Amino acid sequence: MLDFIAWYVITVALGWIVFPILYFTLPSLPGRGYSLAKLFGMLAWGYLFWILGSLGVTANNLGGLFFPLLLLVGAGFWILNKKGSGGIRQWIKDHRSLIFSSEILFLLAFTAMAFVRAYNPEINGTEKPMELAFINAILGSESMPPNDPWLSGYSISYYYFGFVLVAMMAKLAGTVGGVAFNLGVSLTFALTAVGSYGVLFNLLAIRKRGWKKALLPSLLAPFFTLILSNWEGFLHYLHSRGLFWNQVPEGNPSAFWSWLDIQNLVNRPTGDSFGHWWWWRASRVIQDYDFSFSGKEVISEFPFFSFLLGDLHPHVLSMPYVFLILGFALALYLRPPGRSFRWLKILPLEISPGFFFLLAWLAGGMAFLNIWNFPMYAGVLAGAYALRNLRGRQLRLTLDVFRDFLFLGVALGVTGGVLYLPWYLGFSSQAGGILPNVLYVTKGVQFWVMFGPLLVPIFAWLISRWVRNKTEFNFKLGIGISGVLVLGLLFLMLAIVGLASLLDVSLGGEPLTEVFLRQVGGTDLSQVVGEGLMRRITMPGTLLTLIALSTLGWGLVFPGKSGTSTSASSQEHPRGSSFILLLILVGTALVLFPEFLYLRDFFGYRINTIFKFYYQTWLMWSLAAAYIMATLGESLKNPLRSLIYAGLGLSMIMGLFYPILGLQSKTNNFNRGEGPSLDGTNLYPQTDYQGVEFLRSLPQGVIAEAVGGSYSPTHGRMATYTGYPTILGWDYHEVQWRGGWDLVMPRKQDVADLYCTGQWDLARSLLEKYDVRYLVVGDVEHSTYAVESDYCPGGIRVDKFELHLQPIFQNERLIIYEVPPQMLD
Amino acid sequence: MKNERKFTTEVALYGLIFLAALVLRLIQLGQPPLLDSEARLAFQAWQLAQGETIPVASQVAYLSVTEGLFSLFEASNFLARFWPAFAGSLLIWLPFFLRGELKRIPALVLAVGLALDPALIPVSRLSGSPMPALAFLALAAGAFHRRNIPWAVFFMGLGLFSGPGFWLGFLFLAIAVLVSKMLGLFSPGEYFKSRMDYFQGKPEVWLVGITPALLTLFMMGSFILSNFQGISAWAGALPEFLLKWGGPAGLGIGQFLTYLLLNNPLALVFGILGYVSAWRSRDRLGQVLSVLFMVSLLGMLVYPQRQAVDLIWPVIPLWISAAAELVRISRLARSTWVTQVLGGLVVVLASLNWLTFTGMIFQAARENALLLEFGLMAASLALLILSAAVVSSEWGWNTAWKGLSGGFANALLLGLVASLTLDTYILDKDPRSIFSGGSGSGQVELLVDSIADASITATGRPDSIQGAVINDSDALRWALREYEGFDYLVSLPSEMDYPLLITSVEGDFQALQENYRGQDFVLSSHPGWGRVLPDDWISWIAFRKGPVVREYLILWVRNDIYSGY
Repeated sequence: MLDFIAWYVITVALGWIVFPILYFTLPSLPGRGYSLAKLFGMLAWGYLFWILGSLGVTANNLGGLFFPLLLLVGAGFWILNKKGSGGIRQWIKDHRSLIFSSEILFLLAFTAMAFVRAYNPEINGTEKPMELAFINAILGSESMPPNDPWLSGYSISYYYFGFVLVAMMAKLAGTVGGVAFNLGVSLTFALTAVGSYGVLFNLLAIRKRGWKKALLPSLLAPFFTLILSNWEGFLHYLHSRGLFWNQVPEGNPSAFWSWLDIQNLVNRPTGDSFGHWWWWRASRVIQDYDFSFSGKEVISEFPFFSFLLGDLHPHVLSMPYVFLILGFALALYLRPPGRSFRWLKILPLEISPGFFFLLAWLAGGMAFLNIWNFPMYAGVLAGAYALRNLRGRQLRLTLDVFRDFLFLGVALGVTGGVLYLPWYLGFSSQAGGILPNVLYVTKGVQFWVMFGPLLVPIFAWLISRWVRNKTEFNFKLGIGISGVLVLGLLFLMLAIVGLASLLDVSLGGEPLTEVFLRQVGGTDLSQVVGEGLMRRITMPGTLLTLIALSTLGWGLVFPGKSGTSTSASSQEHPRGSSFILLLILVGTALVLFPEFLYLRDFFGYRINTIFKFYYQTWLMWSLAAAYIMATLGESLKNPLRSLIYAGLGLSMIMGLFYPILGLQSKTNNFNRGEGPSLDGTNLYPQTDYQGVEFLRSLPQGVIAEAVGGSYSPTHGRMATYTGYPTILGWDYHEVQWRGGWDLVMPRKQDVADLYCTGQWDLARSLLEKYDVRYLVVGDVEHSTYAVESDYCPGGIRVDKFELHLQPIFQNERLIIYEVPPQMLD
Repeated sequence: MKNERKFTTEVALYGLIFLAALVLRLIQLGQPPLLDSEARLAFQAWQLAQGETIPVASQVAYLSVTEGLFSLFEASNFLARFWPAFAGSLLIWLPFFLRGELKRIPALVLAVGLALDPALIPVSRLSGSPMPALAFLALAAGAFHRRNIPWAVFFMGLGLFSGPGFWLGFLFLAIAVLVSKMLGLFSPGEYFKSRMDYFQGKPEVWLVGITPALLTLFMMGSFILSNFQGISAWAGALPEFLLKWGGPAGLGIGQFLTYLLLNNPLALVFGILGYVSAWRSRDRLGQVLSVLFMVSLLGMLVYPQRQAVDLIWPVIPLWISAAAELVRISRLARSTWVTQVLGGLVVVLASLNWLTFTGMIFQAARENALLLEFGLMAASLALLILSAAVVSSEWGWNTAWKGLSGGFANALLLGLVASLTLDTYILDKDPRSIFSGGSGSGQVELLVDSIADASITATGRPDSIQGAVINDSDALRWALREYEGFDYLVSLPSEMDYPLLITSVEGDFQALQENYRGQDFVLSSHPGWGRVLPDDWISWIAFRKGPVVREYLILWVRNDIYSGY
């Protein structure tokens, strides 16, 4: 409880510390950035702490945490002194209701998610141990960059900024890792809620109805982003009721469910429809098939799923800051052109240098939080800037638009990269270029199951705008651009395949064509390409949806000679709707991309690309859908309005099945045997945890413990819970982070030799090689290195340890030996 | 302004007082081994001087200066304690900043008092003490008061670099300002505005005046550009200070008040008299000082982690008031033979009473003798009162009061001078001393000498033998800093390859006795009483004698080395 209160107080205080900066930086936003202040404060504090630590100015201690805080306080005072505090004080007085709403929302969201986590706090399964390991490693590292807990002697090679923010909060509040994990989830949820609320508030407040009327409808943003889910939950419910199964004879497939083709729903329902991890399926609604029609998993997560699962992965940690950057994009879009400068004396930008610097810092931070986000949101910023520059002119797609987009995009990309250079220097990515997606096509119905709750309002709005003001819709432009995009991507895909084949290009020593064929399970390239084209023709649903979206979107955002600043309704603000169109179009581009191309990584196909791109699309489209829900009805008349609202209502209800049923299952109806707790420590066996607590009382040193595969709940456990580095943790994760097996395999063998050899000299040399300080022998080591195990045919040999090392901790299941430094000299 | 820069007699006097203060703080500074509380920071400074990359503590100024000294000269106990001693000596310049309000003579008296104070001297001789924080905060306030902003900035920076003690003092100052404002004694807004007129119409003053101060602080914080952590490490003092409010209890309130009474009677008595006269005469400076004294005293009673070294906080406002009061009393009436005789009588009777009091140690078992001693002391007090009454009736109360207070001041001054040998630099690392922080140094130097002997025997060099320390302490790490071959372990190694082992006395050492020979040394000692004062409180008050509990360690030397040892 104290930890909860401390985290709440710190976050609120951070918001107030930086609010003066935002107040004077975002004058174009009606909310002056109040709802975004906590996010901005967290990011600014975290960045200053990290960059100063990387430069050796701060250490990872309370002093290092307080120094950036004092800098922010100083900056706040300076700006108040320079600009005067009278205006901000009056603004606070006049906008108490906004402040109150924002704070209440934040507190409620924080409390609610903490409550949910308290009933299923366990840090086990999926990648939670990895996330906890990172948090504990950052807490225990003396400086930046933090130690990699699963590869001693190396620092973390990952986009770990989100974990730094969580660890900072934990350190300042004195929270242990197991509790910090769950508070981190809760805080991320709350910050996303208030961030999305803030962006929608500003979008609604610029309309003629005024800002006070925007307070309540803005709650639609966190609803659409965080609560509303895809339709899989609704379908699962129908499936559990035997819909379209009851009529089918036993043993026969159901046409409907087969057509839907969602994992496990193709099978007849059993009596335990809401049993073991049924809710997991909502993140696997997309189904790919390779050339031999074997199923390939595709990840289609969305925010509510992420919070239900409770993973503290980068795509979750970065969520609040997505809305921060969208808020700044809106501020940029609404900001009248004023000062300008030449970036590096090359590119002219109609934006003040200070504001540009902030944008670059935000965009660059996206990479550090979740690297996939960087180009996406740099693109959003550039798009907002290009649209802004059309203010007062005809909304036509001209070369100027492309120029503005490109200039700001490049400038943000380079500057953002430089601001985070210390991280880039130590980071090695598993990503290795863009490859063609020859075969995998997203089935239309699955795409609609995934995005239906958002697509319904978006299409309703786009179509209603088109229908109401046909003169404002540039069909030719819309279809033209859509065609160029689709055909262009198709051409690019085929070109890469063709060139690879013609020129016999190699990738990592292997012919690229072989890479293509291996990823799809095929043997003949022409057959595979043919199959891919055939699938695109026979499963056109997704493509048609995206073409429709793109056509409508482009056609409305650039109405051409007929459109300048006329609006579809007297209430709607043209700039607000253009910004929404921008979000819709960027989201469309993001889901279109993996239909033809994907980013190469260790998975070898588009699973991760879909995951990351679809996720960001959800965020952008959810904001758009919320705006639409808040404004659509104003311009419609009955009976059309009632009809549309009925449809939207039905769509939303279908999207609410999952959160309700999922929460019940995941929390066991809010019933936990041991009672609610935010401490997610879940180390098995429990006797090992006593060893962890003992190690935490000792100076940091390298731990030797058994090595196992990724996602193992037991391997790497000492490092995970202490934050001290071990020789090797989850092997495959290290392979992904380091770009290969070169570092990993030898260590895996060395650790096995250490435990299994009978020769003390060999063991001693290995202890010296890795500078081991603590050697652990417990149930995990005994089972990993049992007789006839893979790496240890003869079984574990503890006799040498007993003879030469002194145990410093012992219980019935675990012994920890200390390795004196002198022994290794 | 220009006149202040002339080298006047006054400045020369301050210089002499500063030198005297410095001598008192530096004499035998390196003699006793460092306590654990001192060694922690000293060891860190030594590590920094060796080029090690370690997190920098919040006492950046101490680390920066000491690391520099260690780099230039050899690390020693003397150099480890130099910075607080130097800072404590600088404190005597505070009256120089305040002489406009105090007037010259009281300011000089104050300077002497600060130089000789029996609390300020020993605290200056402790590494890691809050003396630098107090000194630089006070000097910053003084310089600000004199509108000398560059110096104020510089001293404030040094104060911020002096650890969590700065924030304690800052808190007292802030509360005192607030309370003074509420009482209508002081208007902070107008005061600050009047001081900041330094900058009016002179923007270039920032460049010329402030920049050198900031640059110097930057160089100090960056350890002359070799380690930039110091630029931020000072910020850690604030959370450290905040955490102390929830930490384990320190010195008891009764002990703290007793120490204040016993250690600083001169400043206490005349300071309080000064406050009374200030309120009676509505002297604003005195009234504000009384508020500051009460705030710092009450603050120390509330502060959970108070230590004896924190006596220095209420002592400063006491001394300012006491100095002014002493001079005021001296001017109450003309100095005649009557006042001198009365004053002399006070000194004689006080000395006799002190001897009587200390003589009670030897009469403890004889009740009648104790009664007689108390009777003598009562009789001398009665004689004094009678004498004062006679003088008062004939020559007036002012004359009598001058004689009494002058004599009393002289008697307390004699006591203060005597305590210079008692509580200050000779015994200040004795746990029976007030300022040892509850522990005293042991035989660590002897231990190191023994290790050096063994090392020479085994290897031919005094510092190259290998060893293992099983019970770690900062004082040990400091003492063994030159021994690179020493490992710090959690438990006894199973393979006894180490030529030397250092363990606590508790444990099973049967395995060692076969191959090693052991010798015990005192690691540190602690007061052997739990209440405010020991049972034989007279011995303690008079001679700082009392029971002591010692903590031992054992040095184990392997037999093959011992044969030549």
